[in-house]
Amino acid sequence: MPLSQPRTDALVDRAVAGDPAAIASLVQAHGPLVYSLSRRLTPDADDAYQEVWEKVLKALPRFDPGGSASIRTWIVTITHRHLVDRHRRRQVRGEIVPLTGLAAHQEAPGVALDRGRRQARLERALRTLPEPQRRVVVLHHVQGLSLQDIAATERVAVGTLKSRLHRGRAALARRLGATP
Amino acid sequence: MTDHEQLSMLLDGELAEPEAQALQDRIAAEPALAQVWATMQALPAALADLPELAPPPELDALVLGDPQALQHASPARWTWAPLALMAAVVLLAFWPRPAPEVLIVTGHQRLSGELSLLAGDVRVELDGEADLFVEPVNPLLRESAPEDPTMTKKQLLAGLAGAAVTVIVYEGTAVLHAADADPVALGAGDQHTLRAQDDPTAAPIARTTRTAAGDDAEALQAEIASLNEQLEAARFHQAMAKGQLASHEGTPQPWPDDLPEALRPDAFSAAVAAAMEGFDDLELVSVECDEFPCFAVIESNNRTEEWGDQLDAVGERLSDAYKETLGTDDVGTGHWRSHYGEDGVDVRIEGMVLGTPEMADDDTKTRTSFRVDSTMKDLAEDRMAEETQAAEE
Repeated sequence: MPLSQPRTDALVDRAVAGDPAAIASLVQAHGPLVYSLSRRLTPDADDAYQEVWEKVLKALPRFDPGGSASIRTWIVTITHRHLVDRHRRRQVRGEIVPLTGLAAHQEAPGVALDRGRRQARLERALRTLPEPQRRVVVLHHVQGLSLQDIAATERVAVGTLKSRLHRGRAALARRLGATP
Repeated sequence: MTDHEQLSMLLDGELAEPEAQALQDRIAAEPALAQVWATMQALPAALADLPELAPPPELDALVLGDPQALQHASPARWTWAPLALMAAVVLLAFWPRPAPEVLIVTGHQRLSGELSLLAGDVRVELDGEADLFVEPVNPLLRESAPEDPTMTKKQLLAGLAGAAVTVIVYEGTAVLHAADADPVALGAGDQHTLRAQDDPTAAPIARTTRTAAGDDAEALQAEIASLNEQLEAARFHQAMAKGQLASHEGTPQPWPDDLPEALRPDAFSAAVAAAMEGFDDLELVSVECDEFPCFAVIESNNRTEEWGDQLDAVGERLSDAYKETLGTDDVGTGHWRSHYGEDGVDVRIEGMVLGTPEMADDDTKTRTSFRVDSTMKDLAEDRMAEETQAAEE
């Protein structure tokens, strides 16, 4: 999913200025991005989704519409950081229990789930990866982030990320067999 | 390295020419490997083609605090959508552990695995999969200061006394322990609700019911008001949980304006690297400087009993170097050293912090300890997962 959309527009400017309607539009426009990352990268997506938006909306006045990052890239970065933080907190306090499974959400009303059998298989295979591997696979291949950008947010060496990426892709290829 | 990992590297052009050629020859000669290679080549496009997933409408409504939007949420979710926000889970166990201890504050959670948890004042022992619902919010909590980090777990639990706890077991077994009552054992397919004894201080349970389209608008408004009340309570609970966490995690520390240059990230990284010179068994995994102070994470490949000696030596070198640089003896190193091992997997990690007067206050120590501890456990889990996966392959 490319991140190279127009860097900013009037909607963002209005949202940054605190216009409620613009903020609602912003949530609507980028909600699928945040939710996709939350669903794919954390076992408790609904909580993560709300927490990310809480952070995004709180930080919105500090977003610079004239800066180098697009609003989409900015939101991805906040989401990524938050999910890494959640993962680390879980390591400290114990294992978080898996919540609603993928199959259940596929049936949830209002959720766009027009995906083919191959995509469903790929989603299931993704969920079997350890979280650090899944993060780099999803952020690099699904969201199109560079390994350098991911490494900067995760605060690990690019070499470490490459190792995770290769292990993650190897596991995916093994689980998908000959028909990814 | 497995064939699959080598193919992944081949895909990125990261194999040296002789290795790449050898692998290409094998792909040409081995149909099974050729199939894996085709799968690997197709992976990036398949991943990039994954669609974005739209959030359920009520989630956005919660984000925006929009009751009108909640009106349009699916009826089945009405009862629990606001309560989903209440699902603030405070996990109390420390890793590694066989069965995590979980404190469910209130709300609805799908649970699976071997768990021991507190739901209100009911202890639930689960080995399997179950849904758990906890309601309502006791008004005692509302009278307490939100985000009060001094509130103890005991006070929190006391405030939650009076909750009704419902467990529905899908797989395995669950045992419910309530005060002054015999334990209740449940098997797959069982559902049981434990209601607290009448509590004169408790607010009435704000139950919502489904309202068909066209029903009386007044009833709908009352239902929305009830949902908003629950939402407000949920936010309070979330704040409570965050307050509890803050006392454990400390608060992020700003970088002091007058911090010596030698203690800033680049200089610290260079100093650690210099202190590690000559120790081939040690690898500097990362230097974490997202908050003050920096700390180093070092992995040891020394599998002897003396592995800690090398790390002690690095600490001494680092400490000595800083004593000289800063011109004071009031410098030392802090070490978080962990050895994780099970089923043939062996991971040895150290978090190393330089102790200076700038980081002597309790909050900085608490925060630093939390950061180092969580980073090391994250790394350890990552390493162990990788090694386990490699062993499986």
